[in-house]
Amino acid sequence: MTAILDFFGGPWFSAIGSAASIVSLAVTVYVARTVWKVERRFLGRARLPEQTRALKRHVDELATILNEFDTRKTEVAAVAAKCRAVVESMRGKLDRTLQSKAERTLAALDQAARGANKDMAWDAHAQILGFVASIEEAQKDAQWVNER
Amino acid sequence: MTLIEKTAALVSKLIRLTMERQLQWQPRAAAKFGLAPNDRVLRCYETEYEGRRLAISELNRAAYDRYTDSTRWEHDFQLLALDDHGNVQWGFPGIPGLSSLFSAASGEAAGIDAWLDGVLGHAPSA
Repeated sequence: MTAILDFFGGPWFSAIGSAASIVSLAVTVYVARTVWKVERRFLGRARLPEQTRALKRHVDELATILNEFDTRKTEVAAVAAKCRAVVESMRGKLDRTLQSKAERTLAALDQAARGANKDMAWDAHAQILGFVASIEEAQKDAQWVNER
Repeated sequence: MTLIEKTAALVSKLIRLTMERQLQWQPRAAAKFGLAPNDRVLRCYETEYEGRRLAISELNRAAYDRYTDSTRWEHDFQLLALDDHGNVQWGFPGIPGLSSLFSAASGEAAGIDAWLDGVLGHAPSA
């Protein structure tokens, strides 16, 4: 009995206990971080296809009115603002590579809004198309990984 | 810039040039590239840009739905690069904006915008 008490009361056993606590804390932090990442990824992904479709509708609308830029500047600005809102909302749900593309798209939209000329508006149109294409490719990759 | 981003920039440029009537499109026989046997080309238009013949096809793709165990038709578009004989050399990857390009190309090929300008006595919008 004394031997058992000595075993559990020994300083080295207490050291093992402390080490195990530190390891448990590290594991808990890792699990919490992973859960947060998974939650963020799935919550984001749930709305991404819907937002991509909305952005495609807006960019198609933009193409139809850009040819009459001089007489429809207000409409162009309104559609560009709708595109900006969608891209801004999508940005936080994307990985780093796509986030940088979202930022380039936002910059092109801002430049077009400041410059208010046809060439800049078409540049923004091209940038949005490229962004939507990249998002769709990433969604296809994700779908393939899920179905494997 | 990735291939898909370059292609998207090309599509944007082609839409602009078509709308500004700087690019002429003509109807052509169905150009097919990488299609399944059941896929159908509905309409196809061709143009020449920077020394390269390009075609855009409107398709109905047969897509199998595993949840309902049935086949449904999906409306789609394809942008193709052609050689000097009109044979398909390359199919650009699926990109957004092709519906706008197809709409602009078919309108230009039909001459609708120019005809309306003539009928209504308007100057071209470009």
